[in-house]
Amino acid sequence: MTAMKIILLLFMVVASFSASAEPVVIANVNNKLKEIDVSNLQDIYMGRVRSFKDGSMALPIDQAKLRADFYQKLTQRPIEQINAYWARIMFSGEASPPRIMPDDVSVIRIVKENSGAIGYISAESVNKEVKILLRFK
Amino acid sequence: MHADYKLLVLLRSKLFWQYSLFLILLWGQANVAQAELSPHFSFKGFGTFAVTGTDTDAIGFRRDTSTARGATKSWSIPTDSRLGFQLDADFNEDFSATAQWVLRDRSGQFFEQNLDLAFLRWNISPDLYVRFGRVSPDVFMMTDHRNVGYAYPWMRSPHEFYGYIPIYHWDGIDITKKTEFDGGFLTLKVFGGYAFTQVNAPNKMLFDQGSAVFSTSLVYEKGDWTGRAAYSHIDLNHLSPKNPLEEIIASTPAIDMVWPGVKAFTPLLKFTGTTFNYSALGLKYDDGLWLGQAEASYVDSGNHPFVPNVASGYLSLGRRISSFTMYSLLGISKSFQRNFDIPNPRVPDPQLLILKNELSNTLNNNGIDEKSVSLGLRWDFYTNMALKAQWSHYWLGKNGTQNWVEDPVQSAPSEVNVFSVGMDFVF
Repeated sequence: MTAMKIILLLFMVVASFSASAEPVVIANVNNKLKEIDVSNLQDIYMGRVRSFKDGSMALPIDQAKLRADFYQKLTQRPIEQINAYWARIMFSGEASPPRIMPDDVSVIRIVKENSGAIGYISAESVNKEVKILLRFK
Repeated sequence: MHADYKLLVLLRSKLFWQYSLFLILLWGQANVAQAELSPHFSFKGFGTFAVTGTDTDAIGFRRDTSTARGATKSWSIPTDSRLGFQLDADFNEDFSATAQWVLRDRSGQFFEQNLDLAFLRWNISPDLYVRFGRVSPDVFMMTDHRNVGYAYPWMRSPHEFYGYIPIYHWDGIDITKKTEFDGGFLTLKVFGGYAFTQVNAPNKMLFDQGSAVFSTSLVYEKGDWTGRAAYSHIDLNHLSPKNPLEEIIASTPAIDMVWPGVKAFTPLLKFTGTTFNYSALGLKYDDGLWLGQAEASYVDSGNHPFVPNVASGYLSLGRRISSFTMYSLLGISKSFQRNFDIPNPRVPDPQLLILKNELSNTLNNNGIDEKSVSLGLRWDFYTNMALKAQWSHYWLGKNGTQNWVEDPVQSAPSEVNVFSVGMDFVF
């Protein structure tokens, strides 16, 4: 690999960490929860539990562009550790990681259409079709 | 053998790796497009491309006994390289199916022995599910994801602990129940079924082994800690072909006349009916910066001479600095093999002496006696990709190289250095 390519690669790695946004956690408007605590959210997103505290099924959704920020805030770990964690679980056939959607619009669409769906989007994309469960501080 | 050779050629071909990379990129695109379809299908995979070499030609290094080929001074690509493909189908909230096939260097049928997952899953409730079909063994902490290098820091699962387990899958039913307990999660898994495994004996002869299996594990995860206890019971009830020595000695009626005492060894050559009990304890810590993992196990085979009882353990400590992980690993494994003195035939017939030599090898050369220290580095240089380099130094005891590929002529060295560099990826 040429030096140019390595520099480009390093730049991309740095760029992916420096893009900072404040993900807002959203759910379907019919979701009975008013808010969600971080530890419950962590259990849902790390595949430890498959339901909300009230017992209804949870369908977590990832957003490709905010994923690294979201997991850093949720678990205080970089995304490569999260990916390695999921590699163990999905390739041993235990569970599948959250589906990754490309942008806020597609996350909102899925959350709107599925009563158990939970996702995260950037604060400026929030509209009345979904409800906010958590804002990271 | 033919299929193995084809795999070797395939793994060494540049075009193959380029084509694989192309497929990976293509499927990456397809995943996004298909995400909203229901039923939801997803295709994913993992792989490692690595080169491994040692400082000796007197013995071959292999990851485990699932293959009869090892790395020596001439560096080997198949030793630590593999490519896995997985197809998941989520039919609805309750049912899903998974199939996984891994391209790798292993003995036996090319398609069947490399098919590691093929099951239907039924989610009975959010914390209880059942899987029917082919699943990964849950014997030790890593037996269900040994192939997935991206999931762990080392180049390979600890050799002393995982080197003698050629089983990568078994067929049956497992039930998993998860419970919240004292701020953590308790997971109980029970499996019952059958294992069909093809393995090479130390003389490289290929055997089909069929076993009835019962396996159970209990895992407790709380914060940064994971503790695990497991027990597996394996009943070897089918072996083919029969050990040729058993046949020869049994079918020669007058053999006692020329070789007194030899018949006493025939019961020891019978492997069918042997039961194995695997007991293991494991502990893992990972706070994002520091990581530690240790396991201890005891395998009881009733001390059958082919697979003597063995005690093993390892301890690894690691530290992450930005996208780098430095780690050290200590491993030890010791079996309790007996030494059988084979009497000489009365007649020094060359064929009988060959038979005597073969009998002695078969009964006495199955021990494990190894210790190792490893140092390594993992660099997560790009999304879903990691580069690794590892150096391991092994101390091998006399008659303790069962996990290695022994040379028929040269005797095993007492120390070996193993070097490897590789790249792990998931897609």
